[in-house]
Amino acid sequence: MEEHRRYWQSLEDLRQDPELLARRRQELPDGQTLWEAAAEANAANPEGVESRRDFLKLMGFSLGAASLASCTRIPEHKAVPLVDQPEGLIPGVASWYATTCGGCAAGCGLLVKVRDGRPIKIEGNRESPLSGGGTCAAGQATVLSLYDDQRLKGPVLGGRPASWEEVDAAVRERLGAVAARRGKMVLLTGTVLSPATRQLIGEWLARYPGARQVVYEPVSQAALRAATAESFGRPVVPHYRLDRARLVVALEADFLGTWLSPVELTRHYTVARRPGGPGGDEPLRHVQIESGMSLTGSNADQRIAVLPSELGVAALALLDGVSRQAGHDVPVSTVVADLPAKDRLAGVAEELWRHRGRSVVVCGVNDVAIQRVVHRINSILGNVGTTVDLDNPSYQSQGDDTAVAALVDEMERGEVQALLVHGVNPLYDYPDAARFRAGLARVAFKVSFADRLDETASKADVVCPDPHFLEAWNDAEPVRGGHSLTQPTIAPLFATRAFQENLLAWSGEKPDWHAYLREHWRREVFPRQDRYRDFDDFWDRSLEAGGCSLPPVPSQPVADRGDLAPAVALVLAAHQTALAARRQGGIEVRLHEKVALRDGRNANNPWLQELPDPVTKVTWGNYVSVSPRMATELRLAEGDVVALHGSSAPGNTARLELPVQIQPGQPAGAVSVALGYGRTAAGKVGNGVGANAFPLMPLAGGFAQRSAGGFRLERTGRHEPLAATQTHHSMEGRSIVREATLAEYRKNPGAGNEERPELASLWPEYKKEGHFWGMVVDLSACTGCAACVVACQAENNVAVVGRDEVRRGREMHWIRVDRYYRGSEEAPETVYQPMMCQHCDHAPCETVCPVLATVHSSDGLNQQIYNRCVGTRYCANNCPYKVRRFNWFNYAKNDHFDYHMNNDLGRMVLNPDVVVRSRGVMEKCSLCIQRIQEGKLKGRYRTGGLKDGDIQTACQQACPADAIVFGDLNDHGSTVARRQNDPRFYHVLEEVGTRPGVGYLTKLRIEA
Amino acid sequence: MAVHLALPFREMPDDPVDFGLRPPLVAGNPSLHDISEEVARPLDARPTLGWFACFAVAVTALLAGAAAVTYEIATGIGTWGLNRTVGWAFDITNFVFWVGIGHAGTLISAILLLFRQKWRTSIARSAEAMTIFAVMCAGLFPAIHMGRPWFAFWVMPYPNSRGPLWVNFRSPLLWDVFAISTYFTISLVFWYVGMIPDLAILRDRAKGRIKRTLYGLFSLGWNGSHRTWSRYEMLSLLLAGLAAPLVVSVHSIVSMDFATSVIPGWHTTLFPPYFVAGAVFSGFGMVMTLLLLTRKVMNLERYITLLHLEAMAKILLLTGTMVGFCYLTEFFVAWYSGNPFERYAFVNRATGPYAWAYWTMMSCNLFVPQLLWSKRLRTSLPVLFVVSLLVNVGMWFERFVIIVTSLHRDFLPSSWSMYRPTIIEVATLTGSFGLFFTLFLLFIRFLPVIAMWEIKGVVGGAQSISEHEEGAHA
Amino acid sequence: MLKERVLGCFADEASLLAAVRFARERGFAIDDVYAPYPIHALDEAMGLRRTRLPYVTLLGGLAGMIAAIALQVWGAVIDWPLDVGGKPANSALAFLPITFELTVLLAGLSSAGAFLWRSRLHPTAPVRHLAPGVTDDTFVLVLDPAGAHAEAARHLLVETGAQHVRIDGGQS
Repeated sequence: MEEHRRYWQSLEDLRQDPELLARRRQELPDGQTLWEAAAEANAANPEGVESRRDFLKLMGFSLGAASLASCTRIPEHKAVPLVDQPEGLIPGVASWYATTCGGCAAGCGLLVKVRDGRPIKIEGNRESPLSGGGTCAAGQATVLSLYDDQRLKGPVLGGRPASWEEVDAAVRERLGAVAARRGKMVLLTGTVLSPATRQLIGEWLARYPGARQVVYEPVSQAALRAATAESFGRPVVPHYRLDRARLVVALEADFLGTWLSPVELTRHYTVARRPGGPGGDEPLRHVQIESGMSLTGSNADQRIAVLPSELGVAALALLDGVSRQAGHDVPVSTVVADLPAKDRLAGVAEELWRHRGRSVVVCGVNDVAIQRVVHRINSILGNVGTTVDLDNPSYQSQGDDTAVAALVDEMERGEVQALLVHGVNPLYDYPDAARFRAGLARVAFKVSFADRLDETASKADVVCPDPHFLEAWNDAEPVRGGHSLTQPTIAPLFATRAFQENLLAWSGEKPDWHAYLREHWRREVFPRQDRYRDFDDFWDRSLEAGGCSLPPVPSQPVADRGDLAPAVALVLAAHQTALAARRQGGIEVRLHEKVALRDGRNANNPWLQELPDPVTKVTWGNYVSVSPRMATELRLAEGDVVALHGSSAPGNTARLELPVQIQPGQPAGAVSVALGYGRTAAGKVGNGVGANAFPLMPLAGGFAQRSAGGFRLERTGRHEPLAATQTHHSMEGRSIVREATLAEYRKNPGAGNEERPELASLWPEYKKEGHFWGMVVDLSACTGCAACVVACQAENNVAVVGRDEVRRGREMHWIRVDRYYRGSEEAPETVYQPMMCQHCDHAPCETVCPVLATVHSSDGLNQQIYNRCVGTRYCANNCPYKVRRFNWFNYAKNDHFDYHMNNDLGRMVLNPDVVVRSRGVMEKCSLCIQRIQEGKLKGRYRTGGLKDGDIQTACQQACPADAIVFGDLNDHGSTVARRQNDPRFYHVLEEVGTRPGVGYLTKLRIEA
Repeated sequence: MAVHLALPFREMPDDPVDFGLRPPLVAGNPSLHDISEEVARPLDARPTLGWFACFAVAVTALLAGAAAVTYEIATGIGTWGLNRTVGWAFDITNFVFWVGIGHAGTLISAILLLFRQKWRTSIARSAEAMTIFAVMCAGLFPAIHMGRPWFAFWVMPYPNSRGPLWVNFRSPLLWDVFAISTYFTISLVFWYVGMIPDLAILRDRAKGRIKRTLYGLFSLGWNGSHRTWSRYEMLSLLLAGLAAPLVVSVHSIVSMDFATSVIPGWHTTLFPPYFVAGAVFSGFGMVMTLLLLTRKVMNLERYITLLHLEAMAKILLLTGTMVGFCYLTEFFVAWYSGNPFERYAFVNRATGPYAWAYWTMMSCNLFVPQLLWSKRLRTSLPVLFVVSLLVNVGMWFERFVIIVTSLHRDFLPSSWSMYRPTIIEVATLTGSFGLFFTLFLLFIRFLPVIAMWEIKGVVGGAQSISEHEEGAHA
Repeated sequence: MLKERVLGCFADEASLLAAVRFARERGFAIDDVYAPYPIHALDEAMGLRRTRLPYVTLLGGLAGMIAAIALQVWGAVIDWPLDVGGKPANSALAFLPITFELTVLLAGLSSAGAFLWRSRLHPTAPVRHLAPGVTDDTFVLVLDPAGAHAEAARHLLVETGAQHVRIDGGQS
């Protein structure tokens, strides 16, 4: 009990090093302790009576001392915050540091809020050319992983904690031996975004003959890169430019949720779709062709559901249509005949042709042949060079499946003598983990850089824990020319050492990675820019801004060389085998990443585990998504546990037991299962949640496929209710989400928004003087990505309650994203609606509270006074929006809820400006009142006062789509005020007469 | 003085609701002394086995409830089955249920007194006791349903050192606080004042010293002076006059917890009369149950006669039908208003996942009482007992249906959810019954179940009248 | 020396009433009557004045009403006006229920209190047993000879059929 609460901050601390403790004790510079100082003070006044003044003096001093002492964790002087350059740190005032997100390989720019030396909140960096101020749910949650008490506290040697000296000695000796034998040595890493690190790795590997790097990604775009190499002679992942497109056709690419660079793509997507935006009179239209309901598909203007095995043929159908239009010879006229969706696909092809040069086809299928077909379509349309940028490629996915497959073979043959694993966890997520494990057993020396004893690290001889990215120096180049920096926002919490410093140390150099990085920038980046003459200047400015963008190379059209026939043949062959399998009653399985957990690296993050999936609204675990038709045929109810079994590869059978989830829009004959669950060594939060679906992945030609055929589904008779936050999916004909098509909107901007009841009031309205806060959510922009949910959770110390409580309908999120379906179950239309406290002027909750624990502020906020609340729950009952959340238990410091709020380390993430609510009180969205207060204060001390946009709520800041706008309704120039006068503006449940301060803009669908 | 004497023969009137003195309210005219003896004897004698059995059961239930509540307060409201959508269920259902039970007591003692319904005399006392115990059970729930019950006193408006900090006089919950406490106080006063003369009787016939002193203390030195008697009569009238509107106000206010909200299925002006009718209905159901038991357990068949039971049966029939009418009106209004939320709420009640509860309510409250049209049925004790039990069940479900089915599917379908009670909640409900019956059993054990002085008034008056008639003959 | 009073015990309401009426015709002052239950006819037979209890009730009720209004206006309008659900500080309509309840409460309590006070009923009040079973089944008429001879009073009581008669107090 005590043990897991107490965490140590350094090895000395762990070993209770007397000398260190002594240093701790001495509180004053001259080695005095406070008591001695007090004694002196007393001596100063002969009567020996402490006067009040002395007391205050001492108290004041000890306060100061305490706050200074709390500054021991401020970053080294080298790190430079964005807004101000503090000599020291002003207690209670946050400073912001620009850095680069390490949550995934997209490398979005971040601002990190540091309070009293603790990073407590992640925000998007407007300066970032990619994310432009947006973030995703996973990125928002990374700050919590920093305080994960399951992380390693120091290096591990042979299963026992060791010192870095011991580790270095051991590693040098073993690697030396391997080198001496000229034995094969492999550095297995994930995508390395950092050019400096790549350079360092290169130099380091050069020291060892027979050493090489293999880049592994459990969910990679290897096929895309391979195809690009074959089609265009460039082994790169193109940089797709939705901001230049008027039509995007996505083939199984979940580009708003998990594919390549979701935040960037979401931002470009929504900006281009905004009527009157850069898209001008012709906003970006979106067609999705996919084999399961993805976040992206649910946002599409037209969604075509096909079976996973039909994706290739669907691509061919598009190619067919496009080539006909282009008058090219048609390579594939006959094959699409038996495709159910062929007519709609023909229509899409036509549209593509109409938008040639201003359209883009993206494909998320990890199959070279299909990717080549897609490349061909893009080049026929002349998109290459405009919307498909090969000259400024993306480095966000460098995983090389074939190389990994080769590595596994070598390991099996026992050729590999040393394996160093960085940032990946193949024993969990390699499709054929068994083979990998067997191979690994034959590797003489295994080093892991994992931050915890995960599935792979636990098999390693040496574990050299890597610091969290918020503790480390690094740089990144997600897209060519876009250089960004990662700077530590806190000194390492544990005795970790940066991967790069390890390499330096082992190669006998001075392990000063910061110096190396700086040097790299001096040599590589500085010369390529022309703004700054002096490097130090350049470096500091880059640190402040988070990086620097070099001018992009003008992108040129590139011809799609090469013969497509073999690719087409492969696609057809695959289709035929799939058909055969289907005829034998086999079911196809689609494997996909979820927005929250992605490939499972975040499994131990309670915020992400409890984040409802945008589409299914299910938390805590994965499930088998079946189509409504299949559910009725097999008489399956949601939560019935089914066994999914078959063979992913010849002689390699896989079996999975998961509850069923009935998913409208899921094509019958195929089921979807999310990856990233069923971790066994992630930590106490993530272990045993859901089941691991990676073993279902077939390895076709070395490429890990995202779907498998010929599987069987059978009921187990067990029932395991899903922990879903929304169980009813129809709007019941109520005008909750109002929508219109673009055409209707052009005729009448208020289309779909006709019902505006005239509301009478029995009472005189209160005067709205000074500030009057309000919010508007643009339902047309919102993609439902749920970044806002996690941002709110981080900002407002919202508790995690766990699977059982979510099942009981007790999740605590202050903002939720409602998702409704309309239309048929096979092809539903989906709408998303962020729902938080509506801050009604005539709030039903206020009137009924017997103790005035919720009242209205003069600036339009519905305030909840926690310490006055007695918890009758009357307010929640009477809230038409059901946005109030009740503390059914104590969620902090309670062993029944053993998440971050139950250990000292985890609690370091709490926002000191927001109280942690106790059991028995009601809570809800406060419109980030702490930010409002801070903003008002800043405004007071700044010339020009408070300006529109100075105050941003957490949800608004996080939103990559800029769907949420907050501001002062009394300031008629403010965006929020203008949007509230937009004809698209409406209040949810207006007819109830609650007069909300939060409203919505109608959703627009862009038809062909 | 003739004990044997009978009343001059008269046909039993067809409508016993006003039979003033004519038919024997007390079987076989005992002498005044016999009355004291028969009513008071059980208090001296060792309680019957039946009493002990009931008491054991009641106390067990009470303890179970106490355990449940302790656990709930120590751990959190999360031990109940509530969720973000359904914030009230068993707690407030039980609250409204018990308040309703209370009402029959006041009605019998006050309103029937004002209407000079003499037949009330032998049942009034126990009915009032029932009121008080029921209100105690009711008052329990608003307190323990709070997230932080230890701050329950915050609902009281008291000057405090926190600067201006008052309660919300607009909140129906606060109205409840005042209504329930007033109701409890007035009922208690009414009950106690009514008992003073009887306590004096007990004092004067008490053997043991302890009993004598105790009864002595509580009888406040009553000595039967007529000067006091005449003020006493006036006081009863005044209290009755106050209690009558009070009882109506209390359940109207309780109904406003729902009526003043915006939730479809709650937000209806019909509620005040609807709830009052329901309260009287359920109350009479409970009185019926209790009296049928009491007259057996305490051998008081002679004082609680079939006439009383039949009269109550008729009130059951009347109020039950009124309640049923309200149910139908609700539906009509929901349809006629054209408000889609309202309509859905009611369709969902009758056909949704909680339809079983709705139809239980309908059959127990609307259909079953219709049996009482038949005289044969309403004069058969077993039938009355079963009916009275069903009425209690039905009225509990009425409140459950109103609260849960309205909440679990309100405006935004995204938040719709289901509610399932936990064992803790069931135990708490059981406990409240335990409390109620424990108190009631103690009452019939230590206090006169029947107002002796009132019975004497009836009997004595009767005797003297008849004696005069005899005298006239002579 | 005690005031001299003559007691007569009767077995039933009717004979008592007769005795009371007879005694008053003879001009005897009636000290009091003790009965096991209230006898309505007695009020006029004894010539009792109607009790003023109702006025107490009225005053109590008014006090309650004023207190309630004062409390709510002070709390919600003067001392701590807040924007609660957009309703005005003085939401008079919402103040009615509490006003009504307090009115009833104080009216009831004051009446009961006044009754006990006026009738000198309190836990420690001395219990005067004029005759055995006076609270049970005996009716006692107490005459105050007031100058007239106690003997005459005793005579009268015997005439009217008192079961037994006693003279309290007076010089022995």
